[in-house]
Amino acid sequence: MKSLEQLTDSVFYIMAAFTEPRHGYAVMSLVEEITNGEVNIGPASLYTIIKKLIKQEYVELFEDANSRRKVYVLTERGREILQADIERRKTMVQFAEDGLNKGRVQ
Amino acid sequence: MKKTYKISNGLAFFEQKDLQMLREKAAEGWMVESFKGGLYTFTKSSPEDVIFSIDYHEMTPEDEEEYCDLFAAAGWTHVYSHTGIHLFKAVPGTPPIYSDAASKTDQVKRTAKPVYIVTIAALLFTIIALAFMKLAEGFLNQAGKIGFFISIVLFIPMLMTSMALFIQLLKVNKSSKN
Repeated sequence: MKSLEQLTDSVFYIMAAFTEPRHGYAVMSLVEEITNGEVNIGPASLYTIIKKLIKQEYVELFEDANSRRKVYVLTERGREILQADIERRKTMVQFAEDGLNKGRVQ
Repeated sequence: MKKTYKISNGLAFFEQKDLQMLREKAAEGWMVESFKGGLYTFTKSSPEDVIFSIDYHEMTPEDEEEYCDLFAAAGWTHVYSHTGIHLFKAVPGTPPIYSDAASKTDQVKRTAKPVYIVTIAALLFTIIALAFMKLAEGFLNQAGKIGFFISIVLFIPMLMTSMALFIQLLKVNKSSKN
């Protein structure tokens, strides 16, 4: 995970979860719920990725007086990166969909 | 409190073997309590069917709380932490602590870096001691001989550890490409 320019699926899910201020541990259950249990983010992966996202300044601590636990949220830069990756993924999906829609060649 | 001890196989070489051993001990009613200097300490407990995982992170006590919270939320109970080595247990079937090959690669790299540095330092020390042994006379020659002996004793295990970590890194890199 040298650079995060092309986001892995795990990083993508985690960043998508931090579009709103959230506890780190809320991300795991949220991703599991969204994907109907198909995607499971391990705690060690999550911790490593959060640290990396903070270092790259894609995510920052969210000041929340009510919370004893750390809450994170995407930075402006993080939002841009996520948006760019959404576009990349849209192109992928579009390509595959167009191919399928043309129907089967007998 | 009844206690028993077991020497580690060397985490850089046989992490899985160690974790399997901890599982077998837990099934026999010996729960691992601590891990220090390559020695596991077990206390008598009721037999438990649990799996173990180990992770490596240097962190502040404040971060450690958050870190353990993440593991707890994923079903992993913190067992013991010492010098950046963290041991967790969970019921069999709990999803692994690393779900993402890229972050697993990061973990191995992080572990390997200080080992590489010490290995290179030991190598340099060996070369310097060898130079003294060959080129200097009298006291410096004696010091060189002793230094060479000490550094070889240091260098060889360090080199083996470096190689083990390097092989591990190649393995994870390979699996992340599949």
